[in-house]
Amino acid sequence: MKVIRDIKILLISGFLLGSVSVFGQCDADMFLDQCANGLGTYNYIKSFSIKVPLHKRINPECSYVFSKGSTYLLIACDQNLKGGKMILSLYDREHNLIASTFNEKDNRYYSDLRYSCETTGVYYITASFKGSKGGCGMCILGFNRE
Amino acid sequence: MKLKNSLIIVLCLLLSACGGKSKKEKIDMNALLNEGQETSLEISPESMNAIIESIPSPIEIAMVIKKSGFEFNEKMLNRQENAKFYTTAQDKAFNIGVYGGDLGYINIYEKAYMAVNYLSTIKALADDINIGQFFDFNTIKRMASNNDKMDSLIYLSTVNFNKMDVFLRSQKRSNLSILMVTGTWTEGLYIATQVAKENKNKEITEWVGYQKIIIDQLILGLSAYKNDDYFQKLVTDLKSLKTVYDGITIKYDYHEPESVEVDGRLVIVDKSTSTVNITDAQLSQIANLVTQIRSRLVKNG
Repeated sequence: MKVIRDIKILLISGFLLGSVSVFGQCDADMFLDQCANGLGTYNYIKSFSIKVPLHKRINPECSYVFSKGSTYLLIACDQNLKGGKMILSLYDREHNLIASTFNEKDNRYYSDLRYSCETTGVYYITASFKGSKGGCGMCILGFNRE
Repeated sequence: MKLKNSLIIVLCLLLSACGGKSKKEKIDMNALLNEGQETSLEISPESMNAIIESIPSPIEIAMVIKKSGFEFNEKMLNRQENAKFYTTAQDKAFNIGVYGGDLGYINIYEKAYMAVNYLSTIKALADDINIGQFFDFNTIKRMASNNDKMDSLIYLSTVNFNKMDVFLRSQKRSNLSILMVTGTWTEGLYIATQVAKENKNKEITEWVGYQKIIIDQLILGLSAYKNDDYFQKLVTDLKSLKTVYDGITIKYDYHEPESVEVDGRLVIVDKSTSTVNITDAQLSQIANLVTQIRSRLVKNG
């Protein structure tokens, strides 16, 4: 009886821990339309789904060629459930950091950033979640031209 | 005591399965291109994804052309009737991209009546290669019938195109995905050079010059499938174009960007500059070459 009870407890514990350690339902596409409202007058270019399991130190990265004379809008859109808040960082072709949606000095988050480009080239966008907690989100990219 | 020990063992097993070294998934484009040129590099799925995702959207060059004040010119676009000549999956994928480039131009110029027709053509080709399920025609037609909904039409068209691309790659059909983006890029370059050669315009000419950045990536991605005749010919075509681009130079002058907060929003101003040197002769050569390449691939009879 005791052995069976122990096994039941083990199985339940394993299930509970398992469901915490794997980031469950992460359907970033579900909130594309909702977050794309933030584009305003900017034209939608594309979106990048970001899925980072809990306890995994992964910083997904995507790249895109930005053109001189255009202003680009990066929207950070996340489910912000169990995970930390999503942070987007923009790097130039040499991987120099240009900007991030999180200001460490002021501990301030921005939901988006606008980049007025004067240098055509490959740019890199990385995503991370505060406190390496993992998370589910989407980066939406739009542009405008004066 | 026994239960406590059992829980500790379970916890340890689970944490060891989920932990591990930190991993950075970074693809450096410069390094990838350099390696590709030195050896016949095998492209990983991650590198192929990076190449495909980095290619600019056709609405960007369409916006440059429109903002420069040029009138809409339907004659430049690939005729819908040509779709009947596309019989292979490669033809269809490439020309879905071409029509996608045309659609970007049509949408930016707000020609809603043409957008629906081009979307029909794209959907028919997409259905043939089993990627047509992303087009909701009832919604598209409703938006196209209302000029105030052009922004939504642009959004929906772009979203659907991106979904097709992502779907192809998820189905391990990146060969068709890279053809689609190559088709879109070729059409964008064709339209830009047609406008630029008739009208001296610095912005558009420079845009043509900056495509030097893209062509190397496309050749690298397409070369992954060079055992296929279609890809082999396309790579040969693009390499002839690259020969002209090799004579074009791009210079960079780095300066730290400036961040300001405007109405609570973060705005970054790029203080670096890039300069492209492209001569009229080079522009003319590119225009001629891309016209020939495009003509062969869209089967412009």
